Amino acid sequence: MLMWNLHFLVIGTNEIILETLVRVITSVDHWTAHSCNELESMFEYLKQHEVNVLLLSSGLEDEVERKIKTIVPFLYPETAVIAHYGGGSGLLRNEVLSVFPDAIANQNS
Amino acid sequence: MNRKEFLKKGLFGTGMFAATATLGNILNNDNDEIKKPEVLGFNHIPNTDSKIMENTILHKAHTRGHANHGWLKSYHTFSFANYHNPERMHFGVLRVLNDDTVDPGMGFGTHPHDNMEIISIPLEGDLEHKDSMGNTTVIKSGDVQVMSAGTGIFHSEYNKNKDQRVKFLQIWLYPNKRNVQPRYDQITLNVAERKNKFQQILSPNTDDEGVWIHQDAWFHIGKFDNEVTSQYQLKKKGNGVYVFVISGSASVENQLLETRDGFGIWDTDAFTITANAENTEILLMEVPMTL
Repeated sequence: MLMWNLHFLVIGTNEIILETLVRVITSVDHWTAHSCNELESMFEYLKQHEVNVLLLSSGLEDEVERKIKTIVPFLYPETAVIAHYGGGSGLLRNEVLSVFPDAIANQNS
Repeated sequence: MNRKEFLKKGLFGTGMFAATATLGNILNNDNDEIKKPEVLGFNHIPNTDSKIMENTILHKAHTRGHANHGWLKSYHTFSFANYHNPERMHFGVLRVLNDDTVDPGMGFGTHPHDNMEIISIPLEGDLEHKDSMGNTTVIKSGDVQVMSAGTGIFHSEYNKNKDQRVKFLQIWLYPNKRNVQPRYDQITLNVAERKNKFQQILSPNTDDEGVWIHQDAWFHIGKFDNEVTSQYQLKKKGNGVYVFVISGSASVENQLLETRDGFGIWDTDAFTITANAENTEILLMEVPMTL
C-alpha cells in the first residue's frame, strides 16, 4: 500500500507521453500530477505549488535538462528531479522508489 | 533579499540563464535513478558463491521477480513495474531483462516508450509488432528487433497465433544519449552460424553484424553441444558482460549456471564458458558499466 502523498510535475514535449505519465502517476493512490511542456510554465508552477517530484520526460534539449538539473535542486531542494526513462509504467515506480525508498510499504505485494 | 530568493524572482527571461551561469556546476542532480559517475551494478548483493573473483554477480532464475497477469507471465531479472528490489535495479546500463510468455492472441495494446534502447528476442512463436512509424511486422525465433525510443514511439505487441503461446526476451538498455530520433529495425539471423560459437546479434556500429543501437553494447548468442568451451573477449575496456542461459546449463569460469540463471562479470578482458548440456543456448550482453 502506498503511504506517501506525492505531487509530481512532469515536463516534456511529447503530449501523448505526458498524458500517459500523468495517467500512470495518478493511478497510484495518493499520487497526483500536473504536466507542462516548457520552462516558463514549469517555474511558474513550482513557484505556486509544492512539488515533490519534477519528472523529466522526453523531448527536452540537453541544455534545458542541464539547466533544470542545476537550478531546481538549488531553488527547490524539497523537489526531487528525476530523469525518466522508458516513457510509461515500466520504470516509473522504481525511479520514484529509488528517491523515496520509504514511500511505499509492501510494494511487492 | 538573499541569493536564492533573488534567483527565484529572476527565473524568467534572461534572469534564469544568468542564474545558470552563476551556479555553474556546483550543483548536481542527485536524484536520478542512475547516479553518475559511479560504477553501475554496485547495488547488487555480492556473490558469495563465486569462485572467480570479486567482480561477479549471480542471479539464480528462481530469485527473479514474477508477474502473472493471466495472459502474460513475466519474470523480471531487474526491478520492473510492480516488482521493486533495490538490489536488483540494473547491471551497468542493462536496466530491463524480462522473460515474457504471452497467451495465444493476446498482447500489449498501443503504449509509448521514450529514451530507451529496446531489444526483443523471440524464443518461441510469432510476435506481431505495430508502431507509430508505420511498421507492421512479425518477428519469430531467430529474429532480433530493436527500437530506439528516443523522443517517443508508440507500439503494440501481440501474439499473432491463436493456438500457440509466444515467448520472448525484452531487454532495455539506457541509451548513451537522450532524445534521439526514434528508429525501428529487425533482422533475421542465420541460426546455423551460432552452432558451437557466439554469433553477434547487436553492436553500436551501423555497418557491423546484427542490429545496432545507441549504446556501446554488443550482444551475442551461441548454441553449444555438451562440453564445448568458448572464450569471450570483451570489445571495450570498462564494459561488463551479463550472461543469461536461455536453455541448458553452462559454467562461466567455475560458476555453474542453469536455465534462466543470470551472471554478471566485469573488470575483466575475457572469460571462458563451457556448456554442460546438449543444445545449451546462451545470450551474452556486453554493456557499459557506467552511463
